[in-house]
Amino acid sequence: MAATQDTIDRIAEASGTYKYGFVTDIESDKAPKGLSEDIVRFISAKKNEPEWMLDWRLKAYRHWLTMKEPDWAKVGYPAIDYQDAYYYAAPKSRDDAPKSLDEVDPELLRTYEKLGIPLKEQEMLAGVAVDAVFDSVSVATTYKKKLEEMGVIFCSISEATQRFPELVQKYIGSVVPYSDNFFATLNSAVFTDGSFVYVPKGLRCPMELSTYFRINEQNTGQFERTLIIADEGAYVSYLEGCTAPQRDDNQLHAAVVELIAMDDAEIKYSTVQNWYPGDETGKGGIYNFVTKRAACRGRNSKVMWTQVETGSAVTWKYPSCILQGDNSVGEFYSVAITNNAQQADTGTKMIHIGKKTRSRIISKGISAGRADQTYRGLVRMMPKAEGARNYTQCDSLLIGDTCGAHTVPYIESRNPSAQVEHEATTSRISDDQLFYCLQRGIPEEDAVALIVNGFCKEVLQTLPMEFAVEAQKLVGISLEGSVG
Amino acid sequence: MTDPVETIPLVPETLAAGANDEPAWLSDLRRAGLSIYTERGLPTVKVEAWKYTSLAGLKKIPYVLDDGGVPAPADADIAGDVLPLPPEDTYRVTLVNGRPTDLPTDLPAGVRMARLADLLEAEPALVKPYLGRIADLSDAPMGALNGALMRDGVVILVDAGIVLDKPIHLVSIAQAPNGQARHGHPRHLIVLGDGAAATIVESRVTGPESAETLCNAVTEIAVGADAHLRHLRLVNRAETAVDLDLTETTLADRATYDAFTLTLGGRLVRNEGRVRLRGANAWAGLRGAYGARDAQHFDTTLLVDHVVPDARSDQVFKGVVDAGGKAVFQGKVIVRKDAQRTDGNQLHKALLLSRDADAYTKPELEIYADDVKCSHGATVGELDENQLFYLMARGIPEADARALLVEAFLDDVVEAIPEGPLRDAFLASVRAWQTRRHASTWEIGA
Amino acid sequence: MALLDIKDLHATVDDGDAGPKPILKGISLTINPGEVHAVMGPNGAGKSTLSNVISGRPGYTVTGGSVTYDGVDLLEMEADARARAGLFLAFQYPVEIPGVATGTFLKTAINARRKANGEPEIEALDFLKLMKANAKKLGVADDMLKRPVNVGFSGGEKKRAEVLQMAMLEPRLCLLDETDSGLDIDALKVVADGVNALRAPDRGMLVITHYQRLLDYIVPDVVHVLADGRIVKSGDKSLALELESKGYAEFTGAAA
Repeated sequence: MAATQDTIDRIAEASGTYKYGFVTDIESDKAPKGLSEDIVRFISAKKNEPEWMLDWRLKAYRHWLTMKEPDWAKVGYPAIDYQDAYYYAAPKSRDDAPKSLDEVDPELLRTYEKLGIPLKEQEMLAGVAVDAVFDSVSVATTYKKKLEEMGVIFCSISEATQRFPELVQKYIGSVVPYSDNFFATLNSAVFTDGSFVYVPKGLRCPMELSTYFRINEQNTGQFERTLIIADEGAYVSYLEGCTAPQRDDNQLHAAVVELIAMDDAEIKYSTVQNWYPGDETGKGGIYNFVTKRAACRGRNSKVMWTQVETGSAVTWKYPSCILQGDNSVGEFYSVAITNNAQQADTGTKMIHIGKKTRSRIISKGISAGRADQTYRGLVRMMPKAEGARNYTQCDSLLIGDTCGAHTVPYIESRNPSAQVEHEATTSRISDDQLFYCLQRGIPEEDAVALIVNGFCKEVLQTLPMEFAVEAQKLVGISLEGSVG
Repeated sequence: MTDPVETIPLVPETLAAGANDEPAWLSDLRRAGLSIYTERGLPTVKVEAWKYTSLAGLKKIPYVLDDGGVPAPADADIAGDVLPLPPEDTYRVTLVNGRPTDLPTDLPAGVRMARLADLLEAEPALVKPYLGRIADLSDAPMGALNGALMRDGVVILVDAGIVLDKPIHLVSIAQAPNGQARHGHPRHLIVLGDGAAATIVESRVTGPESAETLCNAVTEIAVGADAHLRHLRLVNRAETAVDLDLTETTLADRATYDAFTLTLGGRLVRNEGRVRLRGANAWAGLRGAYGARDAQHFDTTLLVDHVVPDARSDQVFKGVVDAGGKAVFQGKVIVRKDAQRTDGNQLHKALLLSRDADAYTKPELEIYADDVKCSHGATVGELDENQLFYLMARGIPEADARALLVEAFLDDVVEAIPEGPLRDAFLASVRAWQTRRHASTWEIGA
Repeated sequence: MALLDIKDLHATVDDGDAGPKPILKGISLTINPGEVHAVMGPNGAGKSTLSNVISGRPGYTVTGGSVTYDGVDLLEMEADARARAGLFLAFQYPVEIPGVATGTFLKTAINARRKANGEPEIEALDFLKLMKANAKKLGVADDMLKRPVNVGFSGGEKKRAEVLQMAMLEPRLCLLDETDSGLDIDALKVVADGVNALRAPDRGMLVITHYQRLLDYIVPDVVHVLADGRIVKSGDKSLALELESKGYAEFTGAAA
């Protein structure tokens, strides 16, 4: 209530000269609490966006008001008060940041150490206000320059909106429309930043594009929007997130990622998500409600999603592929680990529209503690998907008898020549396997990590090398305390 | 304010008056059923359990509630659709719109078969421990509606230790004479005492010149410790028939329930099977086959609930969908928190024979215990081109080759029924279905 | 000091609802460094239980007696600690661990031991050399080392892999549980050669077998006959031959 009053007061105080009738002080680095058209206008103005973008955001906002929060996922969390949150805040002032690692939560540091993260990066991840961070920014800048010389656009979506408005306008919302779903629509209205990638025709982007660079530059906030376009024959591999748990005060994260692959193009999108999962009792933790979708528009295009999801209190996420182009390929490789009181409802959708489209789904879910995890997937063969193929393998591993693992696949076939194959298993680490490892001198926690890594191997090996090694360590760390 | 009952499809206005001479527990049961149904209404595709099966069409048909009194048609009129089992080899019972018209008089001692209507009137205490207590209909609006409207059905009680010498054959006829569409809500009850064994076979068919029928049946089954029930069903209704069947079975220690359902006829058929494994070392097999075509919509929805440790379950369904047909398979295995050492398997295979055939599959696992072995598999596709070519290379014409492969595909699961006259009867039904559809075009590749 | 000293060992197996079932009923056995002991006996005599209890497998309860290894109470140690202290069990049924390469597994095991001893991790190159050298001796193909532990291995490959692990981990006490089961004569020779190569003055071995055949190739210093949870006779290698010709019946009778 007070928050709304705050906005009204600000509006009342203002002179009303702004052309949209927008009055909130745009010099302020924090919008007042709550969500309203004014806030949407404020964010857009802050980013100096063109009118079409503001209009799009407003359409989304108005539509969002008519929507209901989805309740079909097998997750439970207290109701979110959308008016009791800030939707725009400039990056934290350096005065608030810890001055050194001594001031950082020792639990966090212990994890960094186990992951083998260098000291400087630790400081960066923990948000320590030191100049060392700028070293990597300059590295990033160098790379960016090189990429731009080749024709690859890799920048923040805010920057892209300024510099390449026609590209952004053409593609944003073309895969995930502003009206898509409750969280994506919210994101469309209030997204603060994210990445933009465009790889021109025929170019193989020679390096992995990583958000490591991006984190250094800007706090992208809770409503991230990413747009990646691979033009004809282009290739790009994009890495999102990092293995280290990150400091974040925002509880709700509602990101949107759109990928577009034209003829013969290929996009590899890898995610390691390790947001704060809450404590052992389930207090705190991030709500990660993400919409990720790829359009394989062109013939022979290919999109590969790989995700390692170990963090967040609640995860709601279904990276999907719309296989429009004939012969296009969609792949989804997922490892999801839930421990303690974590909940995850995650999977994928493969929508086969074009002829001879192929998809492959490999999902490995590990549930421990009192966690609940659901694989939810849709494979849809449309009537014109002649000769389309899908293969799904969906394995769950339970550690302990207080957790849950669920599998909910939807298979819809409307074309006789399309073939769908789905297999799922549920099992646990056998006593025999554990004893075998122990008898070779491997301590129990290491043995569990080893066995679980083996269970996930098919997925982990699709990650870029440097990511894979850290992800393996992460698997072990995520399961700490789950045995014994 | 108008009475909400009036606005709810399928609930007659007169129901509010109720049957006052009923025992209170029965009235309570009806009220509970009605309140669930009125609260939820006719399920729509927005309800997860009915996502792929729409009942919207029911509202357009002016059904009246079956009030009994429909005579059974002559055997000759339905013989082609009923399972070909010699009457002398079975205890045969004819039901019209779910109401038994005759009951066998030669049942062995320890076996009782009765009309539910009779028992409710004369000996309600006999059915009270079971009726509405085996099936949990709180999440099943149509089952709940049955609870509100049930009048009659067949009750089969087999005493402890009794092994039935011949199968019971229920010939269940949907019949709406004089062009008047009818809906009925049969309620059946099967109870096997400890150590008993029985085989119950059912042929669900439609009588001659019948108008639209809606049969919304609920069957409750209790299988005692060490008891064994084989439950075989053929659904072979006409295109005027909508069949919504919900069967819920509860199993005690070491009990087995071996169900097989073959669905070949009916416009909209939903076979919902639910099994609660409440006894250690119990086993449930839910198997079946179907062949859907020409605007037929066949829905198989299964739930196997492992409540206690050390039980096993198998679900195996195979189906063929031809031009115009639509098939739905939803199978769910729940393993409760303490149900350790559960072994649950599930398999669904669908063959699409035409461009105009749809299959929707949703095999679900919901698992809360760690020491379990659970798996499911599902495939959807067309006939194996290599097999087809192999047969054609041996000089078999394409249409015959396809028919042969389709039959082999279905027979594979029919063979889950042990060898003998029962299996032969089901195989014969598959063959008859094949013969009928043989004329239809094979659209593949066209 | 004796390497392994078992005194009046009693143990039960947890038999689900049936409760604990006594298997070992007072076993005493001493293995000195450099000695190879064989334990023979009919099915159900308690042979595998003996190796499981020594190595600390869950599911067994020691109800009496003691097991001392190199002067320390073995029964007080967890299974992984026993292994790091130098105890190696070659499994009768080696366990499959999908997705974990044999090489990775071995390296993890070696490093676990090094870490416990306060030593640095083994250099990747040194490890590779060591593994290849050992693999070559045992006729283990390189590709097998890349395959997941025991997954898809034939019976012979599994047993060879066990001996390879034994060689790599350099244990002080080797327990071989029916290592001959499921092996044809050629495979048996390869495995036995591998084991014999590991015989050393500071190392002891306990070879558990049902058949005398294995002892033609791994010649023991002492043979014990186990029947109904007790050692009913001990002797030199000729005892194995005597068993072969007379059968177990005579000894089982003695135990009753």
